[in-house]
Amino acid sequence: MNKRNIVLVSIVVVILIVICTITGTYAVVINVINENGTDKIVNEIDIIDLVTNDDGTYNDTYYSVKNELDITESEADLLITSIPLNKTLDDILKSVIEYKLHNNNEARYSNDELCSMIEDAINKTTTLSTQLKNKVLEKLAYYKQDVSDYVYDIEVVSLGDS
Amino acid sequence: MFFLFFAILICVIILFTLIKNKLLALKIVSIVSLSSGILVLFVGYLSKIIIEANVNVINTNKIVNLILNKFLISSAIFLIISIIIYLIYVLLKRKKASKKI
Repeated sequence: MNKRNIVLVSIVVVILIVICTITGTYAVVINVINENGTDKIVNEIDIIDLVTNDDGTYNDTYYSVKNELDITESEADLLITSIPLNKTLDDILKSVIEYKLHNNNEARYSNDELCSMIEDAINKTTTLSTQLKNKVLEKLAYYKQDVSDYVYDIEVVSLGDS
Repeated sequence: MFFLFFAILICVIILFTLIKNKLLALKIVSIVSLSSGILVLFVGYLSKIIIEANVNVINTNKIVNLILNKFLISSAIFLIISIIIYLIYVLLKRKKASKKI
């Protein structure tokens, strides 16, 4: 190979590596979009993820809720692992995404709707004692007027758009 | 996506046209595929760092793993292609050497 050819081959090789890398990355993006990525990610988020750090230790939210409800660690665990509560969280998060990212005002739940959803989930959780249920429902009634504003004030950013 | 595949095809054809020794061209394509696989993996870990840096209030492990797994699959495809091409290169080289003998 002469010098000119070596330079040309080097340029083609670099271009080929760049195009292949872009193709590999783009394939991931297309795959995430086709699978309705936001919904899939939201489905992955459980209550445990909201109250723990990346290293698995409990974060400030956990201790705030625990102190506010005045419950023990085992009672907090029952709430965190409640299947109906986790299902309700999914529904609420999907609504937040729809309202904040897709500007769909109809997706926003009112205070009454949110409280009713949480109340239903609490009542459906068979592992909770009546005393614990009452504690949660009491606090829910106390914060009823602010719950919708609080939920929809959550900062939602699509990293792809930023 | 089709445009990108078409561009890759064109680049490979140009590469084989520029290099007279087709075995060497095959080896270069294998190295290109290997490099791309490693770079896709790098992009995946970069996206992990970006997500972890931007989301502080919740545990992002599950979300990050979901996305990282897709990058790993994409990277694995390039690495497998690279290995296959390299094996073809080795086989053809041996065949050529045995013919000479």
